[in-house]
Amino acid sequence: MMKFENDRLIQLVRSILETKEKDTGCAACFEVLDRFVELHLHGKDAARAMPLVQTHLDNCSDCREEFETLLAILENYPDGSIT
Amino acid sequence: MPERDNIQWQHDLQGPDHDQAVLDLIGFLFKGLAAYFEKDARLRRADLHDLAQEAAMRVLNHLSDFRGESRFTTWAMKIAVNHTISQLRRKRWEEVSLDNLIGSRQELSFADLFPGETLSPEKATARKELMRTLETLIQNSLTEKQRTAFLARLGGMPLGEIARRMHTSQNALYKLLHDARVRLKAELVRAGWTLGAVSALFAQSGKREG
Repeated sequence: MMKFENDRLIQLVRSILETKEKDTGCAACFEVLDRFVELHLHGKDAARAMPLVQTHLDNCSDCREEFETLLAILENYPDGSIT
Repeated sequence: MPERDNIQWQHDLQGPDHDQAVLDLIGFLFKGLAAYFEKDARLRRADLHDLAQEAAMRVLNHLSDFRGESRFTTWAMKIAVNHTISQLRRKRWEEVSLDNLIGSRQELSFADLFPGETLSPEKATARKELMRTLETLIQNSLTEKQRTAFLARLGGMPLGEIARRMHTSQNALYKLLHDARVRLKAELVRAGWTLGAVSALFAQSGKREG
């Protein structure tokens, strides 16, 4: 018998009800994630400029984790410099 | 170390004297990964260096995919982050089989929810009803593959790890799960459950999960 953590169940129900039909999937999101991150880094409205990416990140916690990690790392390199 | 623009990076990484460019790339990736993951107990500095090297090799193998729509360094770090997080997930879940995670008979139990919470009788009844509806829908409205993937996801397993065990790609698995969620959403709404109603029922509980 599979038992679940309460928080995960709540998250599940919410994620189901928040699901948007149009979702490009992980591969398409990954393909353009560098562009999406740079929009964020430049203070642009990335969600508005690339709504399908935002939708996928809202739906997919795995991709969202990668996006948040990439953003956090690059915030330390605002001009992409190595030094 | 020289600063390079996108064209210079591509030129130097493919040219006859590419060794220095490769070292610079590894150094950049390592620095970024180390700064973020330095407090992560799962990774030693040596692990991060290995991951940076492996990521650099992936960058080189996919150099022709770079379209110049972002900084080369952004694109390369994207690959490094994906590789590092994928490896961490693989290590975390390597001992867990799907059967172990979801049980061979995939029986669900949403019982014993929220022990210790004081609920009004109405709220307790409503929650039980929602969970019973969800149990029924997962059991009856999804295909076997969808149900397996769904339950594994519910158990916390990352998409890439589920995909590997189901012998499919992460992208294909995501689409399978997405179709499942769309179906479940339609059924839940048909049964009268809206996002607002659910949010009110579980106020102060949980955050979004995909």
